[in-house]
Amino acid sequence: MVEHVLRGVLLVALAVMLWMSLHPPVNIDGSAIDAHGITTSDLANWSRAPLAPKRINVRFDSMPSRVQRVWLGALAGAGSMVSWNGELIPIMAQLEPVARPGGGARVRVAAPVGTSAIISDDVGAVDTAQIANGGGTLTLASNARSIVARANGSAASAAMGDSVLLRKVLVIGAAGWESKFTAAALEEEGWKVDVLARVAPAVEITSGAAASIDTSRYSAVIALDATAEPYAARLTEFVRSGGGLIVAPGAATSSAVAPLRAVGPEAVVLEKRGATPTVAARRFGAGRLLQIGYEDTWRARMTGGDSAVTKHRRLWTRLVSDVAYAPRVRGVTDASANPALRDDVAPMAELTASVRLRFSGNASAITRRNRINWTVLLFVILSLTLLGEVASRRFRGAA
Amino acid sequence: MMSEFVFCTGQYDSGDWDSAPVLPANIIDSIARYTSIAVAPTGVNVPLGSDAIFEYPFVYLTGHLPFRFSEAERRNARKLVERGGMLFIDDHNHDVGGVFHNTAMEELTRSFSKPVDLPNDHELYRCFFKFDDGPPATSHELNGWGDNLVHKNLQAVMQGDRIGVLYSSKDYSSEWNYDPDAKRFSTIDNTRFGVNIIVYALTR
Repeated sequence: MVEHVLRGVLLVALAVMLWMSLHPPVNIDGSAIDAHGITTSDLANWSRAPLAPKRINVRFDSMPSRVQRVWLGALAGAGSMVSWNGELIPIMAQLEPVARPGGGARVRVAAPVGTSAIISDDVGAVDTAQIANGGGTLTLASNARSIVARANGSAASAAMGDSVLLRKVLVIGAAGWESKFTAAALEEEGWKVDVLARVAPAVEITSGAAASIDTSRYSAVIALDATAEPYAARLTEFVRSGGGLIVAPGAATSSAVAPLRAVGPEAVVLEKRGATPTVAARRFGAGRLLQIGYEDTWRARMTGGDSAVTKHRRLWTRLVSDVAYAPRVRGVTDASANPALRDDVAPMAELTASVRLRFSGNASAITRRNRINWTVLLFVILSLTLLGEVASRRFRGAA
Repeated sequence: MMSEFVFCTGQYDSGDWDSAPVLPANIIDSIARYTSIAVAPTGVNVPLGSDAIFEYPFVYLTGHLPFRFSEAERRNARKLVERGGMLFIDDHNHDVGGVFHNTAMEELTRSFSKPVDLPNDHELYRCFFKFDDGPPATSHELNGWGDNLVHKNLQAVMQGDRIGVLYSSKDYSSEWNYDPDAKRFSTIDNTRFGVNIIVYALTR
């Protein structure tokens, strides 16, 4: 009776092994998973399967989350052949502080030309960036802590990690409406301004504590006219060490200030009126030079419409922001405490890097270990049943 | 070429705005004499109620008669000061009980806010020449004309931390209303405080 039972078990084990060899489990060992989108539970099931999927292909209609991408990368690393397809577009977002007292953030988005990327902050959609030449830039007036750029099912997010340290602005010029209203426009925007105004030969009126021109005191200097001549050497050192200098037409004609003009092959034209450049910039040492073609900007402020004062303030704030020496202060962002602050700057690049590039991984250790376990288990059962049957025969004296 | 400072006398409908016709030439002469400020050799007379007034962020107003702004003048005066300009109003009567003073105070209170005494250590008194005792007294005050008072302070309507409207009861309009060539007969040029007013307007 015992021998019959043992033989029965042996035959069942052999049958199971034969069945397993003819009918491998679905999605396991050589099977292909073709999924349309994935969920975390899909990933969990594939990870828990006794034998890891040999090939996984996912069609994405929207960008998978960072967790899903990393998980797919882990499956690829474990030996599964992971690939994906879909109409996702590559998109990248960057968020950085703007160098101005009122704060604000500059958003840079990279995506295929012609894409309209919708930019949202913590509260909701704020603007749309039209992508030209592979990139688009927006300046947000608000201090966004994080932004998301969305286009065609792809989304990239960026968090504000840094802030900038701003110092004063020094305005150098003859006593007159331009120096007065330039300083006023900047002060009204929140800049701290020193003015060095010449009122008579060898008589200069200073407001604030205008003294040593260096980057420990000033973020930028505005040279309005030839009053800046005696300071040309100091201004050269200031810009060389990282400071920003704006050269107005009245100062550009001074021979002493001429070396600090934004001209030459390395100059970049930032703004034109017709064919005439109105704003040009160039690097000089560690700092930036900006040469402007605007004269008597105060007239636009005084004689313009209702928004003239605001426009005048913004003009000067923008010009100063473009050149200001503004060292970054590393912010403390606790991404684990606030997942919204976690960057996902370039999800497509990360998806490609984590999945495709890790595709050619080594044989799956998990798969091999699972097979050995099953085989060993069945082998042990077979051996035991055979030994049991032989022992049973010996005990009863059978041949 | 940066624009020059142009001395502007404001024309207003209610009074004798042109009661000190030589004063602009005298102040222009002092600016050119003592400073390097680029100044136009002649002043201009511009209606306060016209858009052209905004070409001149400093406007001088004086007179003996009732001082009332029309709606357009009031609107422009407010706008000019809000945008950073400055009005200098001088009572040509040097009389705090007089008609100009009373109506001007009413008008300024209505258009801006009630003028307040300007401290005599204000920057206005040291931005170029130094006036340790505040506004210099005029010969009309010292001679006992008008209200027989030496007015201790000027008044001002402040716009933030700067003077938006400077008001004087000292009658600088009489004091400075003479041909610049006559300065050679003076031991001390009495228009020096006028230079301070212009320098202040151009730098604050």
